[in-house]
Amino acid sequence: MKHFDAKLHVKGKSIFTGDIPEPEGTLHAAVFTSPSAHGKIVSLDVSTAEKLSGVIKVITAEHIPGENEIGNIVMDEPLLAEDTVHFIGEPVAVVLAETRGQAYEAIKSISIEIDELDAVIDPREAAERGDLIVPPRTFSCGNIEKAIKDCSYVVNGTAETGGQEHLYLETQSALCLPGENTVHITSSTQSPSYVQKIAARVLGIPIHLVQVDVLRLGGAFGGKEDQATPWAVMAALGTHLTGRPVRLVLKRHEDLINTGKRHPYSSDFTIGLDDQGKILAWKVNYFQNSGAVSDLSTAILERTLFHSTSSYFVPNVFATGYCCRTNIAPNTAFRGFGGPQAMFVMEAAIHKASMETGIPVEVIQKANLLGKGDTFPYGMEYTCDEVRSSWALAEKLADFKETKHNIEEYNSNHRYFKKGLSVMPVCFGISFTTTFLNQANALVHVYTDGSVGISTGAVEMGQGVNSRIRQIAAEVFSIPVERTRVESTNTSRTANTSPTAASSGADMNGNAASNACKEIKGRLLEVAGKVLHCKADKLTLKNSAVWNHSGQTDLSWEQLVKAAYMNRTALSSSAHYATPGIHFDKTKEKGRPFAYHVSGTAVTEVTVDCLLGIYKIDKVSIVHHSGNQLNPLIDLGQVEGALLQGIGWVTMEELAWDKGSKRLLADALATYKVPDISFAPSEVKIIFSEGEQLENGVGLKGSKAIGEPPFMYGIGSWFAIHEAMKAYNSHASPGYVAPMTPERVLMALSTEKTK
Amino acid sequence: MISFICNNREVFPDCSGGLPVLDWLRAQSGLKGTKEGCREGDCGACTVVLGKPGINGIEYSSVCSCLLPIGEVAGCHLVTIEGLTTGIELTPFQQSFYDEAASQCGFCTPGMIMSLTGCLLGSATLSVSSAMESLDGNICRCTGYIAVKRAVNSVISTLPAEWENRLEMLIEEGHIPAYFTSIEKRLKELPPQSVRAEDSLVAGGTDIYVHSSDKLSTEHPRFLSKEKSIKQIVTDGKTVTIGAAVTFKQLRESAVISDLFPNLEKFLLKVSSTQIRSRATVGGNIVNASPIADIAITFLALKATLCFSERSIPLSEFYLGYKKLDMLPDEILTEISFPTPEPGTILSSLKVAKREYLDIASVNSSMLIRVEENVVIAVRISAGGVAPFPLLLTGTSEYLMGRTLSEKTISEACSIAESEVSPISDVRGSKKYKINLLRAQVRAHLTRGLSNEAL
Repeated sequence: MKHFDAKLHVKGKSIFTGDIPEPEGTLHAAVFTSPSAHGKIVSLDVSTAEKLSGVIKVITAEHIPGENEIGNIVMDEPLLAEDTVHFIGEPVAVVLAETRGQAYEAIKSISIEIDELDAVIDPREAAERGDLIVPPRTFSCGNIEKAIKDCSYVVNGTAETGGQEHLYLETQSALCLPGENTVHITSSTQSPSYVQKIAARVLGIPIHLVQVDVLRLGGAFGGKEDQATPWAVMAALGTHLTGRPVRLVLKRHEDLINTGKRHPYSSDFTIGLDDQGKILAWKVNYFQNSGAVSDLSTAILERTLFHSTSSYFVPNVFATGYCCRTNIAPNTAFRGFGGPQAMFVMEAAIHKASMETGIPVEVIQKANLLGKGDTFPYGMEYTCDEVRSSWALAEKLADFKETKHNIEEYNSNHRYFKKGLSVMPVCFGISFTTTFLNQANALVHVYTDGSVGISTGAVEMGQGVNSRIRQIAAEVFSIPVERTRVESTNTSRTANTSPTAASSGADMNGNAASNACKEIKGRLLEVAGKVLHCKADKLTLKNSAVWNHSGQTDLSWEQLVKAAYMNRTALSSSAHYATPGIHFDKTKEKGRPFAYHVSGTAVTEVTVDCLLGIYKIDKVSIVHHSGNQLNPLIDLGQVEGALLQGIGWVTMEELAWDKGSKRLLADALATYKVPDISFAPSEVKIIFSEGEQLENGVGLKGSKAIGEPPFMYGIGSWFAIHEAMKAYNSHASPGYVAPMTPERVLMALSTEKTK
Repeated sequence: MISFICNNREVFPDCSGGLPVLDWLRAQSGLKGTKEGCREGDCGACTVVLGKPGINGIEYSSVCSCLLPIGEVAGCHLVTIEGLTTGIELTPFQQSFYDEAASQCGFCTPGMIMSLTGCLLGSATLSVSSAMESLDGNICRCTGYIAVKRAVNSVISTLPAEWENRLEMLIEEGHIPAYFTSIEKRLKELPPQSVRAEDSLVAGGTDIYVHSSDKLSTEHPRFLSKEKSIKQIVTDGKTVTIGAAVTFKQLRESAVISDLFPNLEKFLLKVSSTQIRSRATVGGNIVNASPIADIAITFLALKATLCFSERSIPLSEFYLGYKKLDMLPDEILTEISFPTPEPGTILSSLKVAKREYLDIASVNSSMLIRVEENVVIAVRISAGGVAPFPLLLTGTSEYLMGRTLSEKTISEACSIAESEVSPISDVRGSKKYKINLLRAQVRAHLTRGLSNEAL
């Protein structure tokens, strides 16, 4: 089984939003944004821009016919700033011009006068000022204060993780066409229904007058879940106000400045252990740097709280999270959605506990791994034993003991080159933690020639969801995959869709598609029964034909479909899927929010050049519990890709803001570096283990979600680099701060060695 | 009017010579397989292959079309992803990318395939390492490159061990269509080129197009690459002379250079990417006057002299301040020359950045040194990222002359180097980091630099 879309990609024939040919009369939009991190707008002058050649209209907040509000969870985000600006890059006006060059030229002549207000980029400072998006939330279990008193070791510390730019290769883009009182938006979005709903709200028209279509995205990783919306809505607003098609494609530089990223976190922890290294108490405060508006921050913080104990069982927990409002672009979803931040803090705490108690890190980790029957702080039971089994298998895969021995030998033979080793267990909950989002729709048509068209709410962004859905449909009908096609994601064919996010796109939309196909299959077999003069329940579909108990009948798939049509049988069906068995009570912070957990373990080996402070990731060995794999090739690509993205997050990917102006310094690919081919680990060994069976009705045909969990294997690189540094200088102290840039490494290594 | 062959078609674009090829392809030619990712030459999504008529037939190399003015393509063969096949068939790389799922979202894929095609058509050697190296300017955010490596390996391993004519072998193997054999003749049949040249001077364009693309798009730039005289590397045994318009690709492939400094190639690979090295010029790097200009640092250590039409000055006196040069507005740098070092001289060059390849240095440095029986006979050290311009570390060099290399000498040299510099804190690192990094590099030059040890 392949990633079928790739056949078009390799020839450059896939069509992205920016590739769609422009209809006649298309206008190009350029967005004028706030140059200030926080301030009152004293005046905004667009009159010069309006008069420039080619400029058709300059849209400001006053032109918005509906509500100037694009918030999704909390209503705190205007499409275009009205009286106050809250971050550099906040949209203020949209220029529509005949050419893209004219539009960009015109935004240069817009002038804005701003009365500067205090701007904050440190989440702790925002929290001190009480500037929180929502009140803090706490997940707890056991008795934390008593437990801390009972511990043999109590270790306190802080941990920081930086933000991360998505760097989807395709920037935010949209094209909107006018219809008859309607607008037709093509958007590079993970959430067509959000774009639809919010465009309707801003335009002041009912939702059914807005159609959103998505063919595919050139990468997203969460960055187009909520943040594709403003650009699509601006295009729609342009079309609504001018009656002409409008194209809006952000330049890379604008995309980097104007859109949010993974949330930086600053956290305080207290970990308590008994003398054997068993963790008894875990107290943690997360200060999330939410950015200027809420976006998805509250949901992301919630997932942080769900994953505060990472892959470990802790009986006494008190975890509190703060969504801190700051004056940077609104931070947003990014693969892992708050989970990686929580896991880094827990690993940092275990590492620090190891340094202070002398118990080896992996001994503490292993002694506390989640086991079957353990309960998470939020009340859900861990019903399998995959964390422990993956750890055991990964130790074997990586020859852990021998590798550790070899590394010690290598380190004693090299003055500056030192190797380090780490183990990173991952346990990640699958489902939207916002329970109502766990539903999906599909619409399936069987055409009279036997070909099949499938529409679902899933958006293809490279993760291969369309390939999986085609496989499922082909399997239900027992026809070749080539006879199926997944259509664009379109709000007129599938309504009220959830974002393609939370790793759940294939699980939910695949099940919905499967349900729709089964419905049609049932009707087809009824027809087959009539044709073959037997009962439908004695018949099956196999190898593109109808089969009965004695084998293949003369009725082929194509003949059956034709007969059904002539018999006036419905060859289309829609179906709905809702993930069963999940619930959560926010008043108690208890429930069963996840359909299941995905677990695995990674062992990472690195070499650090301790003279120059640079490093290489030598080898990563991963055991990943995938369930019954539907498409092993796609799964492999997801693990490999997520791994390197995770490694990038904790190593070279560094966002920095100018302390004075609050301007993003890493605002170009020359200053924001992501892993390249030479930085990819020299060796990656991945074993997929089927693990324990899923309950009926969850997962897709026994396969498990795979998009996000492997991202967190990358965290192991940070700790492996730290180990190597310690081998050179046992006092090397980089602090628990990610990313571990070459600068951080060198500066920590130059900590005075005490003799 | 200019003309060239785009894939298998003679074209006569009616636009200004400064228009980036990417815009011509996407907006005027309907060839949208070439993607816009960053417009700064840092992602490779817009990679195309450019074939220029040369002494040995057409010389192909991969380039970033976002930084390539269309005037530079006059009389050349421009190959895009659409030109690799004529029907529904896939090239071996396309097939292996499909088989290995080395393409996920697909946005970077055409660029990757073109980089690999550039390697097949133009790389000095064809091996797994040269193919991997050809992807040093292509960013993929989906695959983690692991599947890409598998795909590349599987294709390279199927290439024949020997061949007589590379173009014919590539056609035979399905990497390129048969029309490629007709290109050389067809290029000769193009009408004479009349390229208007009246506006900005453009050498490789790899920096000026990053920040002034909009302005240049409507201009008719004067292209320095048209000056054959400043595109050569020559030596008379005493002096090596490098034309200012020599590209980094040429520099890397030059036997003159690699015979003198076998270590330099590894450093040159860290100067931008394959696509950029095809275009970026040595003179451009020097005149651009970035405080961390990689090759300016190297040439400072080599005691280079800059030649203009009327005069010449030592490179060490060329930089007067941040982006301030001893150069008149209409002066053109024509040549860079340096004395051939004595036998036994080693050139050690280092660059540390967040990412090893295609990144801008936090600190870079070069040391030209000759050591006999552990005594320094001759030495020149230079460094970038530690001052407003590429800096010759005169004091450090003077201190080391005639000394025996010992731990004490090395430590003292590091301290003197520190006293000579004045780095600032910026996005490439704090002042303290840059000082520590310079000290580490001086130590590395004086230890590993002499023995070739590296990570």
